[in-house]
Order: sequence, then structure tokens, then C-alpha cells
Amino acid sequence: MSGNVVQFPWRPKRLEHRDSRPAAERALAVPIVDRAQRADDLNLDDAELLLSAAELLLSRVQTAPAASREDAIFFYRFIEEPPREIGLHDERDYYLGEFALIAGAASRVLFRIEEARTWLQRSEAHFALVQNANAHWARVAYQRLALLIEERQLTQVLELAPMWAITFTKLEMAEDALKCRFLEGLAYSELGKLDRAIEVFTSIASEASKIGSERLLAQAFNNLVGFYADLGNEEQALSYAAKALQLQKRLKDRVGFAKLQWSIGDLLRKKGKPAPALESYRQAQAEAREIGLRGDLAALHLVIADLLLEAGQEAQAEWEIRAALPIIDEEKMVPEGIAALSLLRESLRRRQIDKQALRDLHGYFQEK
Amino acid sequence: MNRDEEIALVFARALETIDGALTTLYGVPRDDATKIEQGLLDWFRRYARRPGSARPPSSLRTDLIIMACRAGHVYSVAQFDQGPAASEIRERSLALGPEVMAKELLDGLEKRDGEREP
Repeated sequence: MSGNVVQFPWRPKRLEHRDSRPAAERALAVPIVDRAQRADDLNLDDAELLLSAAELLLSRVQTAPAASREDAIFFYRFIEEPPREIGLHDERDYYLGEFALIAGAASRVLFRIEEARTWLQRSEAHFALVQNANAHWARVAYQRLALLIEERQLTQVLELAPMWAITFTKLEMAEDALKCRFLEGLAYSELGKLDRAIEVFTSIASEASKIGSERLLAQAFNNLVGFYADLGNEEQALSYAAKALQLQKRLKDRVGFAKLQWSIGDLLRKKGKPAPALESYRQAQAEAREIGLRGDLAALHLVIADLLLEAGQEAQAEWEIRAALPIIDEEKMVPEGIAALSLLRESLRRRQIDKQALRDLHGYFQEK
Repeated sequence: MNRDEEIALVFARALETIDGALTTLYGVPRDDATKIEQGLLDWFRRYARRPGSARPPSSLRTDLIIMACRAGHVYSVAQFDQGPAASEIRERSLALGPEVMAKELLDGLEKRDGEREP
């Protein structure tokens, strides 16, 4: 047997585990344009720092998706080019896979569907080379399922989500299994089967409570607010809203807060209270704008336009629609809503808003 | 006992097996074996924090042993042309590959666990 001499990957350890979190926060606080130049000073190629940075970014995907996406892409590119030796054994591929996954998840939340798909493919390729690849592939698969929800491939979600929930359970990943059930519940709600959706989310809330996942519990409550609001059940909706709000404050969950305000706006509107409904929508809109939720921002412009039209305020409604259209164009959103979008655009040209087209279009966004 | 301590305990209990694998099966000299083991401990601690590793620490032992064998394999291949002629044991380890070697070691560990149970 003969072969080339391969260098064994000895690498000195620099950061201790206890120092890695503050070091990662310090690195993330440095503007991206300056970060790579300070790589040595910030220990950017240290495996401990990268692990903490990935943990921080993953926890911020929902609350600060735009920043998480940019930071994840920065770390991915930093590790990838020029090729850097990172950590030991499988760690370089793990971090490439993890940062690509975070970039994909954040892109999905931001409605950048094509970009999300590409990042998930990169993630999958890197995870193929790490220990316990099955678990990470399952995490990528979950993100793909969530993308199917965005694309309204609901029948597929109803078939695949329970299968992946079982896989995650077998992999002893209880929280991820519950996240798949989330998608199942969302698919039912999208299909108008609210009773089934409520059943699924009530069971998720109970399970999330058992495994101590406050984040999933808050999200389950948030969804229940929306479903009960749709059914016009004010009492139940407000009861879940109070529970959700308490958890969201504790978790600093801004995405959850924006969605909660949206659901409360829907409830108030259904109850014939347009002024407080508008106020709630505006709060949701402000939050969505600040944290970069472009899909929700566009949808809220349309929802508000609809409400303003009902109140006879055509000019303001037109302004809201005109604010939404560039975002929809830029992000290539709602592919199946293209007809409604064309009708709406045409009606704007005639200065006579097509209300049905408007409703059809924002109906495509009503999700999560 | 918190998760970090549990992880350290899993490592400590597997260390004797890992050390034997590195020094005997892969012919790693004592000093280098110690360095590899230190690296494996750092790796294992981080590995246990990955989102895909949110399992009970005891179930991560399999991954640790597989990675130890991979490390021994890579080291042994890297030294192949530099060191003395390979022993029969080392040749066998390299020929079978790290996954098969890890399986043999894990079978031994499971047997030992079984004998310890009352």
C-alpha cells in the first residue's frame, strides 16, 4: 500500500466555550463591510465562535430575518472563499451547511423563494459530509416543506409533513417533529378546514408545553388566535392572544408580535370595528417593515387598502396598493395570483380599484 | 447534572476504548494520541450543541466512536509513508475502514455495558 502524505488536521484551540457567546455577539455587532478585515481580532475562524454565531443567527431567523440572512451569508462566504480550515474533522462542512441552512430559512421568511431554494441546496450538499448527516438533511427537508406552504402546494404538505414528523421523532428531535405538525395545521387552515387546524394546533400547544418549548407554544397560540378570529369567536381569540403576547414579550418575538397584531386586526374588522382594526394593522405593518418581513408588509398594504375601500377612502387605498406592488414584483411573490395582480394593476390605471382582484390577491398572502 | 457535564461523562467513559483504538488499532504514538483525544473532546462538546444532536448525551456515543476511528484512520494514512512498517493490526484497521472498526468497538462497549448492569 502506498499513498500521498496527508497532513493530520491539528488545530490549536483559541476560544473557550464560555467566551464564545460574547465573542460571537461582538463579531456580529461589527458591520459586515468591516468584519472580514478584522477576522483575526474577532477570531472569525474559530470553531467555538462559529458555533455560537450559528446559534444566535438561528434564534433570530424569525425575529430579525433580514439581518440573519445577511450575517449567515457573510459567514458562509468567509469560510468558503478563500477556503479556510475550520475546527476539526467535519466542522468546516458542518458550518457551511449550517450557515447555508440559516440563509435559506431567513430567505424563506423574507419571501425570497428562489434564493431560499438555492441556499437549501448548498446546505444539503455540505451536510452530506458531516457526522449524523440524516438529522441535518431532515432539517433541510423541513425548510423545503415550509417553502411548499409559501407556494401553496398544500396537498403535498399534508402528505409529507406527518411523514417527516415521524422521521424527526425517530431521530429523537422532538421540537422539529412538532414544527412539521405546524405545517400540517397551516395546510388545513389554508384549505379552509379550520376545525382540523384548531385540533392540530391545540395538540401542538399541549405537546410544546410538555417539552418546554416556549417558542413553539407562543407560535401555536398565535395561530389559534387567527383561526378563532376567522371563526368570529372573539372570546377564544382574545384569550389565546393574551397568552401569546405574554410569551412573545418574554422571547422578544417580533415576528410573532406582528402576526398577532394582524390577527387582532382581522378579528376587530370582523366585529365591525374598522378604526381599531386599522390601528392594529398599522402596528403589524410598522413591525413588519422594521424587521424586513417583505411578504407580510406587501400583504398588509393590500389588507389595509381593502379596509380603506370599505370605508370609502379610495385615494388612500390606492396609495396602499401602489406601495405593495413594487415589493410583489421585486420578490416575484404569489405566482398563482398573477391574474389577480394584472386585474388590480389594470384597475389602478383606470383609477377604479377592482375590489375582487384586491381581495383575491391579499387572500394569497393570508397564511402563517 | 447539566448537559455539558453529561457530555463530559460520556466522553470519559469512552476514553479508554478510544485510546486503545488510536494506539493499538491505528498505531498512533502516545503523545499524538493524547493530542487527538483532546481534539476529540473539543469536537464532541461542540458536536453535542449542534441542532441535529439534541438527543440524550448517551446516544451520541456512537458518533464519538465513529469520529475517533475516522481521526485514527486519517492520522494513520497521513503517517503511512513516514513511520515504520505497518503492523498487521493497523493494516487490518485501514483495510476495513473507520465505520467497520467503530462498529466493532461499539459492540464491545455495549457488551461491557450489559455486563455492568445488575
